[in-house]
Amino acid sequence: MNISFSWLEQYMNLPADVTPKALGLKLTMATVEVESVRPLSEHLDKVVVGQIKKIEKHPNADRLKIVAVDIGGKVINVVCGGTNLRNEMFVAFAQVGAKIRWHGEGELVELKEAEVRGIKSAGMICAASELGLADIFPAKDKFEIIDLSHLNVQPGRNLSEALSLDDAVIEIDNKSLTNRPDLWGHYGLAREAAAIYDLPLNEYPLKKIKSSKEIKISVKIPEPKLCPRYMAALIKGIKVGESPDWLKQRLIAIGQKPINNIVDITNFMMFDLGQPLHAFSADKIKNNEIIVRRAKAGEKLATLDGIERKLLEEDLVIADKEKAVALAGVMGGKNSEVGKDTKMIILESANFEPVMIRKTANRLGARTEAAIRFEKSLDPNLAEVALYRAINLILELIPGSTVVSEIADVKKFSVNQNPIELTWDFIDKKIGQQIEREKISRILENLGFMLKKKKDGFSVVAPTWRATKDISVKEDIIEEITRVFGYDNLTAKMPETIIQYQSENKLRELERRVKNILALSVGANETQNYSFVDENILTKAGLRGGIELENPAAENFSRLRASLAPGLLKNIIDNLRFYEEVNLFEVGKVFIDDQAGPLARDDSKERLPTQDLMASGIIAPAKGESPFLCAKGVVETLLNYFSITRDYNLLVERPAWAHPKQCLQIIINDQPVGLVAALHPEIKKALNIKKNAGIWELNLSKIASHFPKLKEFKPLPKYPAIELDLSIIVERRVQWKDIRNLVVHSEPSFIRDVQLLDVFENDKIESGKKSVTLRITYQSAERTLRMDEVEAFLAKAMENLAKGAGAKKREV
Amino acid sequence: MRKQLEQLRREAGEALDKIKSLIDLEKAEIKLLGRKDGKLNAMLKSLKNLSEKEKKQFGKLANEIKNEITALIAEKRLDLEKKETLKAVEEDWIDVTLPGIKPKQGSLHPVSIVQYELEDLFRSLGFMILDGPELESDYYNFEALNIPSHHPARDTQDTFYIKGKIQKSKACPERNRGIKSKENQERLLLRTHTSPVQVRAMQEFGAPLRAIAPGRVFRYEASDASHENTFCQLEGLMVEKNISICNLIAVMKTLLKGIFKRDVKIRLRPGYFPFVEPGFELDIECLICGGRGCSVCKQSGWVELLPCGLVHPNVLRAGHIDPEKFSGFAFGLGLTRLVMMRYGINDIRLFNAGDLRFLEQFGAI
Repeated sequence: MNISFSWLEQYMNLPADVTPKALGLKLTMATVEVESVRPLSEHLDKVVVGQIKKIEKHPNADRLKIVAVDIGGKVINVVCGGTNLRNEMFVAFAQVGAKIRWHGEGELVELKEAEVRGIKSAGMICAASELGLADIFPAKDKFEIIDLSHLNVQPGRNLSEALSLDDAVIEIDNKSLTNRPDLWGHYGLAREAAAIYDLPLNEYPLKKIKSSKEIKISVKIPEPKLCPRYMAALIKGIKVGESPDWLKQRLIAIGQKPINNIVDITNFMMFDLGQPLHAFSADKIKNNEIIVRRAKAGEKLATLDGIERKLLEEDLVIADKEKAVALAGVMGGKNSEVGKDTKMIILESANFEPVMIRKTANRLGARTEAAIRFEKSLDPNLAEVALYRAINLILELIPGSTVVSEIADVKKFSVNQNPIELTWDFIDKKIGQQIEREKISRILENLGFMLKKKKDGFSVVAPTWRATKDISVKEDIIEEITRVFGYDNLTAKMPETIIQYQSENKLRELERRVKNILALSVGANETQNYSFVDENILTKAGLRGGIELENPAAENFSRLRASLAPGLLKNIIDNLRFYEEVNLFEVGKVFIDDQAGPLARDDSKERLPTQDLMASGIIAPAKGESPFLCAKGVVETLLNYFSITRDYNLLVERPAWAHPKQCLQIIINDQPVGLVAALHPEIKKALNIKKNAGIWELNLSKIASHFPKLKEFKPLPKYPAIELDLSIIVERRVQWKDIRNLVVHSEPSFIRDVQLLDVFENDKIESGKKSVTLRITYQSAERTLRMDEVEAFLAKAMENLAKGAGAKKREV
Repeated sequence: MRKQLEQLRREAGEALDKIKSLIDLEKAEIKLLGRKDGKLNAMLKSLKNLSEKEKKQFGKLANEIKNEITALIAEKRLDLEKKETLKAVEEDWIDVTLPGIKPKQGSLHPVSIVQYELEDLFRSLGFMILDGPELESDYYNFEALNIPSHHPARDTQDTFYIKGKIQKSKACPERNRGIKSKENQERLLLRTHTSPVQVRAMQEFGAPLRAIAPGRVFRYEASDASHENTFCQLEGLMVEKNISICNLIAVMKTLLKGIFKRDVKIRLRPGYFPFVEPGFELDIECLICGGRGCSVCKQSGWVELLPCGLVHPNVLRAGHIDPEKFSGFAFGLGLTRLVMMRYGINDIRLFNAGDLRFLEQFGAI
């Protein structure tokens, strides 16, 4: 919202040294966020009023003229293409160095001395659009220059002075105003400024109105809840025409386009008080009868912007007996628009139910200046002030106009003005330091609050314009006091607190350690992917479903991830363009549509979808390394760091992207907690992934209960260990797990470890078989083992392997 | 005999002097002192032919000479070994400017790095580190935070909604009587801020309470270099007896000192968030221009960093905490934005793009 400094100044006597910038900063610090403060005539520095003294033809161009312009004691020759040039005409003259917008388009450009078709030109006679003044001086075409002859000023006078453009615009961020229905007009902001500078606020100018019973006007509101107040008056003798300069300037200053006197007055009121008004052409309203009702389902109304709106019962309309004539609180109807022939108007000043207005405006994409005000819960008392002032202005600006009806006022509202009780002690404690009692009272009274002193504090009644929504509890009063006092005037003070043990959140702790191990020890790179999955990847990876969004960011991102795999698959496709090897991981939440997650409300048993924290990784290893085993290695390293023992199962219900023969489920304490798998060659092809990859997944939410698990210290061995290596030949599909078990069971009491040294197949080995070399560590806690007994153990291990796995000893 | 021995002594000395390698030394040692064919041994063997007196006399001398030669050889060996090591060292040249052989190096996401730094900072101030659901109920995301349906504040937080609704209170059908079925349904959504954790934490832990909750939040908006539909915030909450505005300022200053490792000039101005009262926007003096005004701070000298405020009594009540007994402050730090400031990242879309060329730049600090 734009605020005009001089408009604001009308309502208070600001000291002369308060600049618009200084006021803007004060407002930012105490009230609302000011986005910018700029003089209205910012770029009109070197633009002056000039008078044309001579017009000659340009020797080299038919459309151009050479014009001599008097700019006050100096005559300058320029080349000009204006179509409406005439002698003695007063024009806006941009001197060299002025900033203009060529033909009203693009950025501001500094004007330089130039040669136009061989003739020197030291300045420019401007069109309105070139100076950003198109709203004040509407032009037929872009070659029409501004005619200032009506101004009656001397040549050489600065243009912004001549046009009274010495105002400044304070631009306020609307978002910082959502909670303040009283600040959507200049008077409300003037009240704030007055309180900040501790100055009196001028009374709002209202004159008495003579109403009459000449013509009857009626207002009916079947559902008063939807329209707590509706005021209207019938005014005849209207002559629709241009507004006076002062009014146009006010509107132009805040970026509004003047239209005609009636529309300008209603707009002026909206920006003055924050109360939107509407004028109907009275001859279009049947029997001067206003009905405020819900729209009928399917009812149509063409609004002022020319769009035909299809309405619902949730919309509120202003209607007469026969038809809707306006979309209440949002926009007027085309069928009752004030036109240049309008002689009589019905002026509306009303208050509507905010939620209804908000819904309608949002649904129809018509968030008009009126709607954004009504939806903030305006004070119904404002409707009266605004109507009276608007009538004052109409009668003043249109001689001969008179009010010919009674002022209709149908109302049913109450504003919550229950007194709020505060003690000094409460105020001091909340703020954290003592502010003078006297100062506190003044601040509140300046803002319109009514105070009643009590023994230990006071009770306070909020003014009606603050009581609709904004002020209701003690804490609201604390804010009023402190913000005007100035947050910068407070002294920081550390809280007085007790030291206590804070329990740790296991899952967060585990999450952090997992990430650290993966990044710092495993050497993987952390990535973070969107919680939405790319449906192209999902389909190609053979996955389906997932919780669906009502309003996705893009059509193919409409589902929430149920696994981190699709995101990682996308990552590997992208990164293999630049990298030979990739080892990425992500820790993030996934969403399962099961209503078994956290409580949706503390007072019901309804639950949200499960949102477990997953850790997952994708690895495309160096050539010759098995992606599956690399992925498995990551999982094992990770779990080893946490001393968590695990088991593996062949996965029955594997995800479609997993290789059927290279896929394991990870089991901890009989509970499945994740999987490790190589990518299925078909999926790899479908996704056009250039290298083989392995993927692992661990559900950290499920693992958290096993964390932290402390390892028990084992004393160092007293007696030496004996390591013996054994090479065997077995069938290709004999699993290491079985080989290891056969060896361990051959001498469980003395075998401390069985390690795999080597597995290979080559042409020296019978086809379909493989060589496995293992190292067995024998050790006793009680004595030194003898070589002969260890050799006997080894023979027994070999015997077990031969019996259980059909192994033969490989001669080295 | 004596003559022979003396000659051996002389010869040995000369021979050893000339030796230049350990192998030659070895050979010489065998030649001189070897058990089988060594010169000295050969002489000793010939002693047996002499008289007892001569045996004694020459035996002693021979022993002397043997010790002498042994010592000389040992000395020579040390000398040669040293020379050989020096020579080997001299030849053991490698190109020391070659890059080192690296173990595989990973990296943390920049958000994780800054998040953990902040977690450590808050832990040192006695805060718990919490987490909350990313898919939330309308209740926790809005209602419990004093943002009822159709509150205009909902406009500023465009929301991703989940298809379908759940019953508000399936468990207590008696409560449903008289409520229209439509009003009894609740929407699910992706949380628009980390603030729902405030209420969840209060319900779970009660007061006093000190906690932060870093996490992912979502906004339904178009993305460009500075806007994303997914980003990270860090929520903070402290509930105690008698928390004041002055307390909030002090803790925020400490926090910012921890983040920027120096005193940062701040200013507090009104900001409207329904779940705090009073609510503030905390600005820091622009670190780029030092407050003089530049393009980063839009010439204002200040950068908006941290919305905060005293917890609204309605929010305390939703968290089952009595606002007459306890008060608190809360803040929401734009974690992703802080990370962008820290590293000078100019495009927010890089954070979720999974591009290794971006990710691997950050290491772990």
